[in-house]
Amino acid sequence: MTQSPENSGRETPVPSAATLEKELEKGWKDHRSGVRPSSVSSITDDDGEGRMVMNFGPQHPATHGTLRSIFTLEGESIVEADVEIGYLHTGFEKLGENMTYQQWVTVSDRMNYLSAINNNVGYSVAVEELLGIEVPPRCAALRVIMCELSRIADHVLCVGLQGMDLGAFSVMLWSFEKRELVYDIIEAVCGARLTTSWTRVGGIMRDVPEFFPDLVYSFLDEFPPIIEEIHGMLLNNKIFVDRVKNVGTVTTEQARSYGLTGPIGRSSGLDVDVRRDRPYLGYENYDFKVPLQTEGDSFSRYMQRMEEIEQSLEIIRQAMATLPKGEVVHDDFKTSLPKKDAVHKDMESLIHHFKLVMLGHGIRPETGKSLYSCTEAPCGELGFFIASDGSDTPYRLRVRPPSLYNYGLFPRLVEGGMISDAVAVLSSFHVIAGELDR
Amino acid sequence: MVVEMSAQHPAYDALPADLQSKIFEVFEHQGQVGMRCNAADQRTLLEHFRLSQNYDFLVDVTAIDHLGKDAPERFEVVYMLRALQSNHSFFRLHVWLDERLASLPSVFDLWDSARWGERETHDMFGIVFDGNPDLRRFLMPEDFPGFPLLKDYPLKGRDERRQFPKVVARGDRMVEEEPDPYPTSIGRQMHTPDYIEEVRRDSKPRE
Amino acid sequence: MGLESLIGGEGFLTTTVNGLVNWGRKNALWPMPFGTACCAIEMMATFSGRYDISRFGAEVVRFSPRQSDLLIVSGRISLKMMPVLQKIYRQMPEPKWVISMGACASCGGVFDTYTLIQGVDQFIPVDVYVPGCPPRPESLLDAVFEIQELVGEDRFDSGKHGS
Repeated sequence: MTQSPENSGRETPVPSAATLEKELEKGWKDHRSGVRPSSVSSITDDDGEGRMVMNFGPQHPATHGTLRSIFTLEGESIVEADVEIGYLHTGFEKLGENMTYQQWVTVSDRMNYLSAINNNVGYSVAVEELLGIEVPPRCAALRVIMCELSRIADHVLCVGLQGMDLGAFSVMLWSFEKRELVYDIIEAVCGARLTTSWTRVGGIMRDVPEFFPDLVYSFLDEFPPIIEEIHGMLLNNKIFVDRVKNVGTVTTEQARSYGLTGPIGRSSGLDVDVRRDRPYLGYENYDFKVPLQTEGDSFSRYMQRMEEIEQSLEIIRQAMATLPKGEVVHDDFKTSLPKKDAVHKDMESLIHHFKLVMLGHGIRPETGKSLYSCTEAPCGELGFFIASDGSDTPYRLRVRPPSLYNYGLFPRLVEGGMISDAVAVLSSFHVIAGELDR
Repeated sequence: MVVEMSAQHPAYDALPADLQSKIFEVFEHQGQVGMRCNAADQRTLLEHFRLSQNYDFLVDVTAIDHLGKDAPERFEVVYMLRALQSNHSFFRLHVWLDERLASLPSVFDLWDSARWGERETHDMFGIVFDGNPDLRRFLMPEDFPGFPLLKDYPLKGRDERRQFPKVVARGDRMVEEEPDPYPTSIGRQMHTPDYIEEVRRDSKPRE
Repeated sequence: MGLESLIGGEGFLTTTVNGLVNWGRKNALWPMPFGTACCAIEMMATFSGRYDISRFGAEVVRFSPRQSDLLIVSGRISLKMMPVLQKIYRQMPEPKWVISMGACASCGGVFDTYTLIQGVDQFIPVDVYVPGCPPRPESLLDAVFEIQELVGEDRFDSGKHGS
């Protein structure tokens, strides 16, 4: 921590090591016994004006993950809202400074755990841009297909949970069943259902199996009926519609100022989509619409996600139709791992493999270069800012989490509404705690 | 003032002359442009970019800690700006920040996304953003003694993660005891002097 | 408690009542899902249609600790979350069992960092550990079977679970 000899007239002086040691004693005793100091946690009862401070989370069925909200209530309506996050903070960025570029892929899928492939691809695209390498077209097309499958899984789960939070429990069970179809494909391709770690720098782990087209085409036949089923369950359900229409309205100006991206930004009229505006991995070759809604309430967020599922299916169809043949790993072995059977037979591949994997060697971008690179995750714009110092680990690995900036608007939005509206808004925001806290 | 211009960017070209002199380097890598300035000029430059050049989308705020490296200052605060109207024109503004001062004016009134961006940078590095209405600890507990992303804070921490009591049932009561002295209970043979020394050695920051 | 002092001893009646009580407890475990991260998604998949946990009795997932007896800690537990976990654990009435699901809850997993608890068993007692990152739903079902075996061997008057 900063050891500053003088505090140079600041209001909050930087504490010295000795003071902090003493604070450690006292503060940690309080932390351990659950007493939380300061403003966030002044949980008191009725303060005489008929107001009550209510705690919502971090362990609660309706908070999607470990999110804590503290509402000051007057009856049922929320007068003041505050949120507290950090219940899942794991130090991914600090880990990035201690793991090599190749190793951090495994950490990246634990961020947005509902669509891990999007995180893998986002990170690999960032490292590849920093190094200035291009992946082969087959690899790009496969990455696009798996990303869109993962996006479908995320959106359908979000809609299912939105239904469950508002009482429509069957929708959640049906959407989980359809997610299992996506999991089957992901398992056949990557080996794992959820934490895939599929991409490598310069390519992917390995090529897809021969029955991959059959898998995808049968998925494209079996999946679309669920969209109609979900619409049928929810749109005709007056309770659902009344609970989400005109609830949690986000204006375009708010979306722009708070940095909202993804389905939330697009449902408020802010027309941003990384796939269309700054295409990567060949997205410019696919013809897809970017849906846009203008109302900005929870209902339009629901409709936005359903329309995006349809567009994702369209992209998968086009990508499968034009899937090129060829290699799946970039051919420069200074940055990308050679094929395993070549490593077992060929001396040069063995040396390249050794140099890439052993600590101290590895992938070395140029010293002093840094780059911000973003991709479109299901939650919004997932960005990675990587600064390199010439060694095999990044010097600074910053993750720009879409959920953080999306969630920043939540306290403003629920003030003035009722608690049940807060639940509806939170479920439509689809904040993922793993990505929020990293 | 000598400006190191190894790249072009419309945002720089559209700056008036007095503000152009505050940016002392424009660099680019893989097509993305970065500009450097000092902490004193941060607010004027950002105000200009927001109000006169319509960079209305603050993508992210973060910082880099250059402890021990050959850099002008210890902290480098990075603002990433995008103009949604002008074809998504994007650039980064790198601000050098002195360690002993460690504070910058907040830009929450220009972009609301800076409220939480600055709060997180404060939580991770200890940099104070004057004027931000809500600069509490964010991801770390409120009373956490340290700023995790500083280079002299070790990856495995300073043992804060073991400062909890152990809750066990004794008879018909739940009591709190001291936790086990070794880090994990799996592999109890690891509670040997060698292992303790290894943990202590690994807790130092990486060279 | 009153019943066992009336019956007392190791007789035929006690063992039958013991067996009956254990049979009832193990086939109707009420889980309390303490899901934080990726393991929570696999836990939700276990509770859903394809890997149905309600086949084995653990159907009533009520998110209130006061009404449950099986705490499934799934996901990584950070510094801020540990007091919350202990509070939830203390709120559960006896008898209770704990499954530590996944590598992060069992031993810190992939993340050996400043903010993650390297195994919740340092601070709350754990009965069954499930390895995996995340464990497949079948592994979680296997853990439930192990808990059911543990429950089956219990003596309801042993004082172990505070009865």
